[in-house]
Amino acid sequence: MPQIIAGMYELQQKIGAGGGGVVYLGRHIRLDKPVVLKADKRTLNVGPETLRREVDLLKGLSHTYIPQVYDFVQEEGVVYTVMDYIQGESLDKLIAQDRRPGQAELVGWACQLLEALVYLHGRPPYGILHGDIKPANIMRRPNGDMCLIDFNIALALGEDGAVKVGFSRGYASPEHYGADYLVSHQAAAGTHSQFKNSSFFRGGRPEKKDSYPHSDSENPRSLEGRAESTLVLSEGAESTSALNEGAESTLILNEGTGSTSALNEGAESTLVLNEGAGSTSALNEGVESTLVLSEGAGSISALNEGVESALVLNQGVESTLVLNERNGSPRLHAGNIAPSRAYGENASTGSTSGGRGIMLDVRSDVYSLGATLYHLISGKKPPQDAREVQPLGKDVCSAAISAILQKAMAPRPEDRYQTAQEMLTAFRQLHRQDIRAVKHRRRMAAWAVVLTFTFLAGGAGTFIGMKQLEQRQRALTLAEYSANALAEGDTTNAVGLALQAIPRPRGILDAPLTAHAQKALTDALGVYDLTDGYKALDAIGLPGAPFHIALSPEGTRLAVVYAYEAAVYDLATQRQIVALPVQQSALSDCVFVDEDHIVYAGNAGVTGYDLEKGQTVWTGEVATTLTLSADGQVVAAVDRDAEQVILYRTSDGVKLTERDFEGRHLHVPVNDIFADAGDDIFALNADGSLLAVSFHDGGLWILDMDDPQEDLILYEESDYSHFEGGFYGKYFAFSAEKSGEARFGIVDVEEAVFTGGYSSQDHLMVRGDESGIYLASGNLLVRIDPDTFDEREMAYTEDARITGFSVGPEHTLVAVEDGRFAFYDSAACKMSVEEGQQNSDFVVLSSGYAVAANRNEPSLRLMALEDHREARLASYDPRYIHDEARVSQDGQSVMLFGYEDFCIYDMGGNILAQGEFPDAEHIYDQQFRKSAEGSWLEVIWYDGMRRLYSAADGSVLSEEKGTPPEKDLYEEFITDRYRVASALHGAPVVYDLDTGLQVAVLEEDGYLTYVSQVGEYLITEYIATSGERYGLLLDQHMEKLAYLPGLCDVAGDMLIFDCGSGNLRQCRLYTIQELIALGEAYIEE
Amino acid sequence: MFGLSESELFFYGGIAVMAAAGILAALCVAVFTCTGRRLKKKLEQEYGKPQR
Repeated sequence: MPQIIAGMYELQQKIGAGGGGVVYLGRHIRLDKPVVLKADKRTLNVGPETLRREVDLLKGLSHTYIPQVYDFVQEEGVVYTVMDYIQGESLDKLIAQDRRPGQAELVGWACQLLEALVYLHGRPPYGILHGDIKPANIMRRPNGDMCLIDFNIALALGEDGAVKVGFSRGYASPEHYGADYLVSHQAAAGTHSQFKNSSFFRGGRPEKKDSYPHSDSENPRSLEGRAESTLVLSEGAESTSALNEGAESTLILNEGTGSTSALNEGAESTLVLNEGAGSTSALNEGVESTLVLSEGAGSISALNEGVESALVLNQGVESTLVLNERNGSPRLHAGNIAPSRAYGENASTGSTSGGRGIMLDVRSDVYSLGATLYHLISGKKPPQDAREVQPLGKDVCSAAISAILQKAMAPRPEDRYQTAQEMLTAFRQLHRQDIRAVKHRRRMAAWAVVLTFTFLAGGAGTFIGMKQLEQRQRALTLAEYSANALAEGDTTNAVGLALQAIPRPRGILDAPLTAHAQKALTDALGVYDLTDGYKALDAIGLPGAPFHIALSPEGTRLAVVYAYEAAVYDLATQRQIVALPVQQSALSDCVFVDEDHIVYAGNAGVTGYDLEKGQTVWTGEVATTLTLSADGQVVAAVDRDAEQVILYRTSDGVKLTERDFEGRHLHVPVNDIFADAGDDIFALNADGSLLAVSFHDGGLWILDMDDPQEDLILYEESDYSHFEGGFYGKYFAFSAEKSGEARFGIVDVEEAVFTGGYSSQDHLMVRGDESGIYLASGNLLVRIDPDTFDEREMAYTEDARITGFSVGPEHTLVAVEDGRFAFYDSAACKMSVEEGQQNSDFVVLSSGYAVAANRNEPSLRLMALEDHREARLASYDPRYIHDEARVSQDGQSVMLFGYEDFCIYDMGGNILAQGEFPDAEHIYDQQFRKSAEGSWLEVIWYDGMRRLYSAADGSVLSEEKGTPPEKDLYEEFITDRYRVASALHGAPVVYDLDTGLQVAVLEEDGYLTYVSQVGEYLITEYIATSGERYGLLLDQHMEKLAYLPGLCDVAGDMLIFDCGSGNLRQCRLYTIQELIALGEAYIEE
Repeated sequence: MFGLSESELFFYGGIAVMAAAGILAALCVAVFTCTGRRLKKKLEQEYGKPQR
């Protein structure tokens, strides 16, 4: 007949028994649900209320891996705890069957159990300690999940933990054995003397001696009064013994005994619970007893107040001990006491033994679980002494698992995982913390770092390269702009642009210095152009295109007329002095009286202006066209369509005379707003007494301003539409042009005689002033002697037509139709050439400056005379025609030579030697050689003859006949790194000496004659097809760094130029830093 | 070098380095994915599936 508990639960079968009580499988009658009812054995010592509090504590637990406690019922004095029925088997059965779980399975179990522990330890307020984790208290459900059971000795943790109340040998943490250690220590101090006759204590395991009486009776025994007895309860005995007052007895409970023993007041007894003994013992007040719990004993003892007892807990004892108030030292109560009470009462226990100070905390559970897992995985029960726990080998489990278990089972709590969560984390991170995974991640991280760095480095390189290429492109553009600016004569701008093309200081995003930029700067500075001549100085921007330009007599000031101002500039500073309003006509003129006075066709009338004072001196009648007498005293003015001319005294504007044109007027273009065709002659003679004027009807008159009767009429009227000319002394030179015909003539105005002239189909340009009469036609400019009509060449422009010219005191400026300017000296030798973008309509020249302008460009191009005579190295007779000039190795002589002869000068210009080459028509090649032994000219003939001429005295050093050279001239030049092959036809090619690969193709416009190496630079020398000699400075990449006009030799780092004017000049090779410094200085100036 | 200027070397070299890094990265991803899976399988055999 099944027993019904509390009318709700049906007891079906006993499924277990232990120190805590008997466990029954039951059934909830109403729910028809299997439950477990646990009959608590502690009813003897603990009140129902205490048990209820425990159950209430456990009822609040709800976790997957913890059984749910439902109820607490009392039936016939037995307290039952109702909880989930957990199907499955406990892990101790696995161990018993030697079924060891796999490592992976164990990890899963560990995690589940740790989760349960984390849950327990995390219960408010301070967590719950299981206290008895061992394989027997862990169920494995059918689905493989774990379930932590048996909370019999679970303790509610306080702030500082809980005292130990029971343990299982091998699974319990060292702190569980605190009392045992205490007794051991006391034994050493003599307090163990009461056990000196008790031989069964040896080895920590009681010995079973046959001499002891034993009983397997289930009857309780009672030793009262002064009985001296030894009671031995062997296996199967379920006896209750009471040793009452006065009894001196030894009570031994052997394996299987489930006795309850009460040693009452006055009893002097020794209670020994051997392995398997599951007794509950109560030592009441007044008992002087020694209680020994050996391994396996599962007794719960309570030592009540007044008990003076020594308690020995041997290895394997599963007991809960409680020390009650007022116990002597050491007063130990043993008993199954509710955790809350145990903790609370012990809180006030003042112990000096040290055993009572040992507190349990979550680390004890950590140890127990570690030990349980240790047992499960190894199959070996851990030793009781944690210090004897051997690490598990690789044959048992992996090192990581072993390490976790080792740490969990550390003897010292502080060396263990401090929480279950820590241990859980360790298990959860097994994958992550595995050395192979760590290495894998490290490898990945290392590769990621390396590749990221590499990618970023590549990106940085690309970015830098892109920026540098951009900057290089910008530099190239700026260099091109600089070249354009230089071509337009704007040297300042050219230098500025070239400097911009050179990064200073060079940042990482800046491209290396480009050869183009360096060349632009070099060209703009003109440091290697040592020829004398007018060089581009600056370009002056104008508000409008110029109509006229004029230079002051001494050439220090420039006046330019544009719509509708006359601006005056100081040429030295290129700064504007004043801008004066002029008539709104392109015919408006201005003329310099002297350096400080100017007369211009002001909008209020002809105006004299003092530039020094900056004020108007006088104003006359309205006029547009002006002309000044050569002596500067008289100015003639005529308005655009007026029929009269007025002569003013320039100093004060007094009208000197006035002449009527008798109904004629100057040629006025249909539109005189934008341009002055300059078709008329309007010129005064030296003293202003004669005025030559051409009229719109083709008439050309020379008016005598004093006596109209003396007027000379060259053409009454004609079909000539364009006149040019002027006075030179008593002569008047003119040209008159009409379509397809031009006529030039000179008239002696004093004699009124036409001294001569001629007609031409070419355009004739005539200038007549106090310096002479000049006639330009085609590519020739000549000065004509009016008496003899002899012509003296002033300039010859070869294949370019002259479009304008200006003759100064010492030099002649000629503009040609391709936009170039050429300057000639008094001997008609070309001094220098400037490039221009467009043909110049206006060119004027003074002693120090030259100005050119175009009717379509609102700018002036300024050139200044440069003199490099200070760079002179050697002199020679400029009349000596030669192809090359070379300085000897010792620097003492200069050898000039051509294909016909040679001439040797000393550095002072004295001839040392000269000679002719025999059979000059068959000379194949000439090379001037220098070495440490000296210098000589090597001449090779086509027949193989080879002669060496001394550069010192011209003597023949050697003469030999070798193999005739090939017909086509072919030369090779070797430098440290390159081989330069130069054929007669085709561009020279540079090859790398080491690799033999082609490096570059050099200039093909000229014939390469020499290659010199100066430092890291190469200097190549050429002869252009025009015969002009020049050199190129090349960098390591064969890019041009500088154009070296007239270069004839290289001596060390000195460049020697043959300027063709009878002297050799030299300069050193400039570094880029020097060029930059020069450029900056130029800009600052 | 290679007939390239310093700037061109930076630019084209950088692109080449980036490309090489990209290709290597792809290779590494493939290799590490493969070895990672193998390792994961191995670890699962030893420790079971990763616990969350």
